[in-house]
Amino acid sequence: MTPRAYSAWVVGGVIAALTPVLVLNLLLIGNDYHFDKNRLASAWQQETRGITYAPPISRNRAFKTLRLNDRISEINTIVFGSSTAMSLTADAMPAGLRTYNFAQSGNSLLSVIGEAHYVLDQWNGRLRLLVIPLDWSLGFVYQPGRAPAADLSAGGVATAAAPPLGAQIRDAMSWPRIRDLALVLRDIARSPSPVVAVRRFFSEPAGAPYRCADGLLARDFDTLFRGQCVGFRDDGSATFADQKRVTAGTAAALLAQSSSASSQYAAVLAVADNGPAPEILLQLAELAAKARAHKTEVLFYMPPLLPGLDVRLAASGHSGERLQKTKSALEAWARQHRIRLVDAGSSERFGCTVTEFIDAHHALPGCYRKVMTRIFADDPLPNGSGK
Amino acid sequence: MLFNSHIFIFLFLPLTLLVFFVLGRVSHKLAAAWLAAASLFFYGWWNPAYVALLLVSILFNFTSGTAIARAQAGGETVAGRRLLIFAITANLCLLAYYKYANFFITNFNAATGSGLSIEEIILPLGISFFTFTQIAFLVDAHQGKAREYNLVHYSLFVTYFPHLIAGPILHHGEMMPQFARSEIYRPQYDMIAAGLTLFVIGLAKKVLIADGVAPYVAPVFDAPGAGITLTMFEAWCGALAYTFQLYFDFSGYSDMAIGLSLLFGVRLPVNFHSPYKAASIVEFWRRWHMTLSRFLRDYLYVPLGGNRKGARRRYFSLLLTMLLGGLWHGAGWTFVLWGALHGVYLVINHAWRALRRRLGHDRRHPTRAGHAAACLLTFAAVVAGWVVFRAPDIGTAGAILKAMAGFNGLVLPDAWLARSGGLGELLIAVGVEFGATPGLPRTGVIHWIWLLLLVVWFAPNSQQIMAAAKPALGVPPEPGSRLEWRAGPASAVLTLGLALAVIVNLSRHSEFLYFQF
Repeated sequence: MTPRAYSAWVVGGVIAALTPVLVLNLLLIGNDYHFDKNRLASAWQQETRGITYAPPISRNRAFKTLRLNDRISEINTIVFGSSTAMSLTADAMPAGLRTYNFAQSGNSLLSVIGEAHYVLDQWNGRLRLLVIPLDWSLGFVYQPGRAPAADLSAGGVATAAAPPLGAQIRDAMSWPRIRDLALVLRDIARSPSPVVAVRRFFSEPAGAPYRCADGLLARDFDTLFRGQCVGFRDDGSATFADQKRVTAGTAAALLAQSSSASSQYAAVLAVADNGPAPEILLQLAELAAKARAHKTEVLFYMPPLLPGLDVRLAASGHSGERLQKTKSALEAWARQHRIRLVDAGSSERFGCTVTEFIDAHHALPGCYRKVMTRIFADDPLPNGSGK
Repeated sequence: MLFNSHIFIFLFLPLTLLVFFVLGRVSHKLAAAWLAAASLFFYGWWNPAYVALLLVSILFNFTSGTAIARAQAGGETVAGRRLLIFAITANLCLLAYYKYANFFITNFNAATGSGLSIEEIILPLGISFFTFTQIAFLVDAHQGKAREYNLVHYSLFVTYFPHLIAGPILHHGEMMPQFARSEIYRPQYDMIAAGLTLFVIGLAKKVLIADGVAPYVAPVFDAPGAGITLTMFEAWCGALAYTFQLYFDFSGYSDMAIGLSLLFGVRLPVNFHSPYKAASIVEFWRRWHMTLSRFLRDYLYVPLGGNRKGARRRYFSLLLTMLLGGLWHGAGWTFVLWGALHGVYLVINHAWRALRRRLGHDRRHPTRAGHAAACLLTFAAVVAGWVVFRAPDIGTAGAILKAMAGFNGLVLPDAWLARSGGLGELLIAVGVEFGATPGLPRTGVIHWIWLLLLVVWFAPNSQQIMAAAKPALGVPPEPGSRLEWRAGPASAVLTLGLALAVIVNLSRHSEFLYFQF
């Protein structure tokens, strides 16, 4: 091989391999920004009550805000929080409570405070219960600072603007995009009608509607996870259909790892050596007082953890004292402000099993159903009927 | 502009190369001017304001150099010497202002309690490199070694984008004759093939290895500042991770620079030659950042007396040279300490050699075990040095070195205990402790470490792999490698695969560590 041929093969090979990847990914990126998928997916769910989401799955604030506005006239309960609360379904709540799960990926407790103030101000008298997780396992209760003001109006949801072309090109040639493109091409190859599939993936905003195993209708506005019923139900709860479940076989290792001194939970507790941030507790107490004035109950709870994890961490030399400090501080705060606080950390006390989790701190609907049933059985809401 | 950015790889480089060869057909001078202009654009991409500074520096040094040469040629040696001193002082003042003014004022304030302040000075990219390159030119002009005085070629010599930001530090004498050769103005496919391959190898070292191991470094070096007491395992993992990050980052950059230059038909001097295979600190400095070592030797150590004025003077010269070499890397006490540490290492190394010579030992034929022990000791000394080099302050460096020495005990991550089954129990039985390793939130670093130790100790380096193409100047003679590159189908497929692997990982591109120096 001559050096000239060698150089031509290397440069030509790079161009030949990257050009189709670049073109196809730019088409997919363009498709995401050409359509206002948040509004399209939201409108479709409002019409069909099926399962859907707008891409990317990890940024769901806009979609959920639109859905909250659509649903607000029908509901009287809102679940706030982050992904740990996303599995809480409306049917887990007692009769009379009509729930929308507004939890969003990575949503901090400070953001939740701002959101809760917004709903109390805007929809005063309509809401009976706000459900707010106090998630120490993700470190949210330790974050100092003031809650940012939230705008949850439908008009405030901006249409996603396409990034500059340079950024799109860089994105199109990145490994995550290429991996996703491979999955799209696989889906097209497996499709009974590849030509139609190509059109749907590259030039239409969504795939065709389909039925999930539970009979619910679903439609995918993302190019990933098509046909898998991934997304949010009409009650806002997540299906987590793209996530693996903890099995009886993997639970022991996960439990050992999660309760070890080098686990993420021990790391969170180590950093938060002084317990929950006083500023955040103060703001939560103010929120609870405001809700009370609006005749709205607030349920604070510590989210369920993998059965056995809470107990193991509490008994551990590395984190036991710190966890106890956090829990004692939260309980004292709840007593002082007459706040309804439930510690669901030891999920086994509520009858949860390891197979009702996708990891050590993300419970599935089955577990939440047990937790909520027990909470409301032990301490029902005053005035059993809904607003 | 970064070598590891899309805009450089897919736009700047092909366009610069294409126009260079097209203009080369018309006029060599025009092509050289284009390359110099493109290099200035490359530099200005970071901060256009500093292009003017670079141009002033070039014009000043070119004028000074030609004046010095003229004075020397006319027998006006005193005038020539005065001019040289003036020009070098001006260069050092420029460097001192941009690089050391804040450091000096901070320390002056700390020592005297005064409140002097100047506005924050942004360090111009590559100022240490282009200043040293031009000081070398001035000295060469004074000594009559610089023979060609062509402004376009001189501008290209200084600004030439493959070396402008982070070296190699060039000698006027090794570059100007190459710019004068007519062959470089037309494509030389043997050099293009080799350059392309070397560029991809360097890019892979940076993007896949240095950036891959980088996330493990900061948690360890930040831990003492956050009040975390590191244990031996964490400290060694962090120190070794940085040892590899720095080497693969900087040697990757140097490979890219040499590869890029080959595309234009120009050979740059070699900058790295498997430094972690060194069996002594003296050898380490012959393998690590070789063009800086060469500069410090030729323009500092030798003028200070070198080895010509007795052992004491030699050791003093070594210490001073390394101290200044440390300070060249950055305005901070950790860099001064790192330089001093290496100065002490070198003094010990030379004293040890002198002692062995007196005892009649044969240093040229060490036993395998002896050589391995020497390599290990040298490597450990270098790693300890890198801790000082990377640490944000001397206190942190001390805390990490203390942990590395075992003063805080050895604790293995307890997550491993859950996975290790019987072995874990066995280790506990022999006294190994498992527990929290907060300085090491991700323990995957251990796989990087053993893998990269094998690479740096046993694999051929990129110059050995590319030996057939003679890609760089001044490569030390070494036996050939079985992995020697030839332009063939297998190497084309490998290079293509590596190029694609690198390109799809470019989106997380990060700056090169040596840009800050």
